[in-house]
Amino acid sequence: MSSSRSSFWAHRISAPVFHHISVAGIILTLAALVAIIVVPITLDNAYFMRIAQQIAFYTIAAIGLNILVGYQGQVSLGHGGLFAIGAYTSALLATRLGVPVWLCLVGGAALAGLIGALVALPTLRAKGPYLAMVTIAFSVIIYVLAQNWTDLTRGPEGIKSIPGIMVFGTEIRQLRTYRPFGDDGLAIGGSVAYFWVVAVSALIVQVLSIHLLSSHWGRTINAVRQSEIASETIGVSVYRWKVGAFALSAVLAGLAGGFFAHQDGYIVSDTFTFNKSVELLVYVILGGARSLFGPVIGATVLVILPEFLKMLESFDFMPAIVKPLLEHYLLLYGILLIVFLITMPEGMAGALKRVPWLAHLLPPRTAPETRPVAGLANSRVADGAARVELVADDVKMYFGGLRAVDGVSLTVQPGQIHGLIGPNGSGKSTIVNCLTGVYRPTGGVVRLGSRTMNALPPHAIAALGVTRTFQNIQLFRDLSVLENVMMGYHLRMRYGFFDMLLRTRRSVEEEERFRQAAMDLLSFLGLAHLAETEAQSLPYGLQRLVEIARAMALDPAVLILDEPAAGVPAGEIATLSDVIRRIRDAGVTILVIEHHMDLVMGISDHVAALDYGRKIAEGSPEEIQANERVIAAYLGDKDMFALPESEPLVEPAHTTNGVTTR
Amino acid sequence: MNEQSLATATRTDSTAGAGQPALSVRNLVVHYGQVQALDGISLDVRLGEIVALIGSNGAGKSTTLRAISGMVRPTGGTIMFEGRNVAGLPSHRIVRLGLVHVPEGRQVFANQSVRDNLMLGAYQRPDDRKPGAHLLERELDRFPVLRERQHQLAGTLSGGEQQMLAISRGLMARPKVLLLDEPSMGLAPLLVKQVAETVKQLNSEGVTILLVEQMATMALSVAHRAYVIQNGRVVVDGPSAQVARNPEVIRAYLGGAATH
Repeated sequence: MSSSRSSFWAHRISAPVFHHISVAGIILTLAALVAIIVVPITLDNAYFMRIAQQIAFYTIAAIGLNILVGYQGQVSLGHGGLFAIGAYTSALLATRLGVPVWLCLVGGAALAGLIGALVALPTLRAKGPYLAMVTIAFSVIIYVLAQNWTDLTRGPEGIKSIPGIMVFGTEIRQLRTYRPFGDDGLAIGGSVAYFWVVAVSALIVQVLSIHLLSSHWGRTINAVRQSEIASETIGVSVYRWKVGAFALSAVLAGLAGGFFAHQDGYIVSDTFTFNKSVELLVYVILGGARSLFGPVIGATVLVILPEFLKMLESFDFMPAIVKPLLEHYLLLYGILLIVFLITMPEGMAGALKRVPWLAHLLPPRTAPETRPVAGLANSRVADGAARVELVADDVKMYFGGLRAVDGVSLTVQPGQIHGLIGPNGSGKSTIVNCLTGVYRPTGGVVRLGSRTMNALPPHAIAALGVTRTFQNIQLFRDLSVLENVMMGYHLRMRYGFFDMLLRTRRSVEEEERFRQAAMDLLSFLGLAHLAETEAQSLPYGLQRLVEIARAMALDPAVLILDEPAAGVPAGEIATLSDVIRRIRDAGVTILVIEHHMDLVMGISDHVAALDYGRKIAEGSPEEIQANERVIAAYLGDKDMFALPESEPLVEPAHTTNGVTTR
Repeated sequence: MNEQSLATATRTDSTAGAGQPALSVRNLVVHYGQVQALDGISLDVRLGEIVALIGSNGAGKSTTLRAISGMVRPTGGTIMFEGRNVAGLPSHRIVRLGLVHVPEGRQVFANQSVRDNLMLGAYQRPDDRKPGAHLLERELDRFPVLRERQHQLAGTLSGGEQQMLAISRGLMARPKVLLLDEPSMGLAPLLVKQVAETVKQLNSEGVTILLVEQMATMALSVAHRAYVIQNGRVVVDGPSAQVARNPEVIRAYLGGAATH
């Protein structure tokens, strides 16, 4: 593809909202709109129109469920229940209270969202199978209510005569069929008009969901999926985000349910079995979870497929032998689903992405320019807020009878690298967890300057300027290096949900500002060339550096590194030491917990050693290396174990390593 | 007399085979994903010996042991045991050959009785249809505290008792070479001393032992020879008395001279 062509497609339009949309995006949206208008006119068949309407409202529900299942990573088997709530709410508001249908749809979506949030609040504290179990129970309860609360829902008898949408004062189903090209020509009737309404709604939901998912909002729910613990430490309130994602997906399930209720003007409880929840999930997973277009592809193919299989039977050209098989078209449908799942593990959208010429059409990802940076732009260093000491004063942390930390005092001087060492189980990581709010200490005080941090949750401590990395690297694996660093700016991003939904100029400009800031930070750490690389594809040593870069995006006053050398190959230790020193020299205080003695002794200004939850020594690296108590803690007590006096049982084996030192 | 019967039971002969290489590891390399844990370890264990493998946290001691017993698959090197390369064999087959691993952190079956834990130790012996009652008796004799508590759940034992149980369970498989991983971990100093005595006792009964320990003084007090490893490589090796006097050992634990 020539660069001039690609630059035309990538050309972006300025506007206060829907700001900075590429020409390709606009053309794609217009093409979808034209297809929505033209396709139903040519179909001219009430049966086909119903199928098309179904595709449109299931797409809305699937987009919502994809946000939850694909991006946020929580599996819900309860969205059929939320779909039912949307349908009944909208139907009842219209039939019992005579509320205008547009408002009924909004009301159904809102109530589904509210109930979704209420279900999510207690259950999202649990993880994995528990959430699935609770949502299964939820959808079963909703079904049972729909069946048996007949005063409200009329159960299997159904709610009849649900009013349709009013268009120019006429109810949509009553619209006269209009044939613009003569009596045998194309027909535009009520069902076509209703399709337009639902499909345009689906298009709007699709566009807004793309805005949201490609903004900081999408980046954040992706991050929460990949590492909750890292998300907390960069200031993301994980629980709120999870409930929020659930509620948003519930709103869309409810909206889809509303459109369903007004489709035929008739709903019965038998529709809303547990199967509905499974169907929605299948649309998302086979269409392509965590893909912008997966839901619409999944809903389209999987709504049409069973109808198509059913229709095959009636074709004369089908061999007689196949016909009995087609009678059981649902069995065939099931088999096809299994085949899809095996051959396309990333769903249909994932399979399409592999088609080379389609992949070419995707706009290339471009990193912001690298520019020479003089130093580290750290606001806390700049305004002097970093010149405070981090103090643990007589900190105790007991787990039942286990005294993991038993009265340890540390003072980390501003602008220094402070090493913390100790054998396995000596309490180093427990101290770090106390300092960063992961644990609430049993006793003692942790403070930053004069600010006591004992009772603060991790994200609040991060907001004060104490940030950390992890023993086991906690990167957002699917995100690029640049996006990982940008997550570090989470707390400073001021634009809100609706800014991102509508892509306001403000949100786009701020996003650009943070992209550039992240790029400058990567340049400072010498990682700019990796900006667009997916984090998980980097070698281990570089992943460490990315994690440090992300922590630096929080403008920390204090940076706590938990075993930064773990797993880093010997050849990359020097780079790591260099980066840590460069950060200290820029004015940031560093506490490093480390087993790699060459690293910690090489870079630390001051070292403290722990053993059995107590501090046994403190001093310069040289002092610590020569300290008898430290040596005994690591190698064992010399006085306790007498050295063997006798000669070995057998002659020493030949030296095989070539590095024998005698 | 007693010693003779034990030697037969463990299928090692403390006199005839002494000095013959039982286990010979050459250039062992192990990766965990992208992370290289071992960078070409070579070591020998001869019949009748206690060999210590010492080094600081994360040096690669346990990984070496796990590679020998088949719990991680080496990416390079050979592990010769009785004339065949066992590198890459699944661990249940390696146990059958007589290389028995007593894992770090004891790993007793906490919700089963002490007696069942011991019986499970004999699970892999193909030549023993009735998992020898005599083996069980021998182990209960060895550690009277286990006999006392044989019907108790293993999880209710103290740390030191669990370590005894883990060692006994290993011996139930009648090892030719016993691989002991950090038996001192999490134990009070007095109990560590007791474990050291147990290791010496076992060896005097004819059991060949490869002992992985962070606590260097303990390991060097019982072992005939020792290897010190750092960053996945052997940096010092030799008779224990010599290794104990080598200043490199402290450096392997606490790092080289501090340089800024």
